[in-house]
Amino acid sequence: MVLALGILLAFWWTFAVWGGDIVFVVSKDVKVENLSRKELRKILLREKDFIDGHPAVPVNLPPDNPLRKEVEEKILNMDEEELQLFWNRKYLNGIDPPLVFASQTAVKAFVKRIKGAIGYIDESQLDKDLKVIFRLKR
Amino acid sequence: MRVGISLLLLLSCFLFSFSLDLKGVSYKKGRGLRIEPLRSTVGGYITTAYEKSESYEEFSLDDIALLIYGRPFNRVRYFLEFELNESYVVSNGKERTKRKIDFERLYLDLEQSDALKIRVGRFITPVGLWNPIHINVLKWTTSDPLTATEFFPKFTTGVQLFGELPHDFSYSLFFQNNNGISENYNNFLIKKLVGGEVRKGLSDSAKIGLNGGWFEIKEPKEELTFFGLNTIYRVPRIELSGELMYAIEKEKYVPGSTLWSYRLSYYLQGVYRVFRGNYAILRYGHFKDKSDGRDYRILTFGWNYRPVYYIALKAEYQLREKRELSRFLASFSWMF
Repeated sequence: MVLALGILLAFWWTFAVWGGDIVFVVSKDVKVENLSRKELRKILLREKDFIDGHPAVPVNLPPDNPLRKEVEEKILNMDEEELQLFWNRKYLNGIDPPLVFASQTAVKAFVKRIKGAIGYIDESQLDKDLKVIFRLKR
Repeated sequence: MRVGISLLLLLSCFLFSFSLDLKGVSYKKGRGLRIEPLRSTVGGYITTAYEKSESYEEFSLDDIALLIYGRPFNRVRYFLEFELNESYVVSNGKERTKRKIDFERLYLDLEQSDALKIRVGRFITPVGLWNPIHINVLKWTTSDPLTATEFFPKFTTGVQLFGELPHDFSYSLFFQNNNGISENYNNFLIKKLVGGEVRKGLSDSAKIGLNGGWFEIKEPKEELTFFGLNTIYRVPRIELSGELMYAIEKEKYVPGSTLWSYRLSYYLQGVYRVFRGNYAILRYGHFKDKSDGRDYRILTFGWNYRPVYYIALKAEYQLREKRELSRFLASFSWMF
């Protein structure tokens, strides 16, 4: 009984605290199967503007979201201050940073609705209307 | 004058609208006023600068700029930036004011794909590392290295083709064959220009660029053919960069006779984030122009303080071989 409880706790710890992989998703209607990390980085930094012929619309989670922190560190390879300076340059050249949504549910709803929208969620949030085009191992 | 006052009033509205949050309209400090129904953003920046050398002292309200940009359709972008440049200057105790509004940028982008985008209008000449970020608030130092001011026009009024290519290459080609928009608000008065730059991303942190071009100066009659090489390496806390420019000058001051000459310049720069929002800058630059004998070696020590991302306070000291040319510069700039 104690052992079973221990195993359960270990599972809970693994998935609740550390979560699954972070998956980058697009609408299932988008005809792109996967992206390289470099392509993804360019889309998030708004240096690549199209995905499957549609304007790419990257979306973000709020700045203090742990998933976003991980994406900034492992995909963008930039810290917060560096990113602010980067978006300063973009702003004064007419490029806005990605839209920010308050929750993964909101990200999913937007991605399903807009062709070319690309967002990231925990893999536990995946559903059949979304297509994974990049997986960030955790 | 009325246009200037209107511009200032408009600016004031922005400065007092920090908490504005109407439906579809939102303001974020340093990122402008987003008007979602128009798919447009309105913002700008202000810069003041101070310069002091042995025999010269100047304070200037350097830039008051307003920009409006957006993407009204999926493949179309527009960008408009106009500014009051050096609207108030005090040099060696003498005041002067300027009431003229210039277009800094005015262009339309048509985006065919990532590989082919077309820009038409007046835009920043896409050459080198420094020129594309020449706006004070974005620069590490108040002064510019001479690679950015003596080899090609800062602005082009014409057509630009640009895009991303496979293997992390990108390119820009630009052409001008007409008088420029706000043509006197440029470092060269030109009518014809052709050039391009190819860039290669070596990694997330490193890029290298190669450029070249030709242009004709209206007055005094002169042609310049330029070539350049630049590289940048950027990781958190550290940025290392360098540019090299070379130009062949064809001077036609006297009808029927042509003089050939050259100019050369390079700089190497290191930026180190000492602690949050505080950057130390060290730059060494050399410029030589055979036609008029100018030969400068400039060592710049700078400090860039960003208490918040949309404000920059800068101070620098330029050490030159001729002591009377050494100078101190400082500036304050604010994006809104």
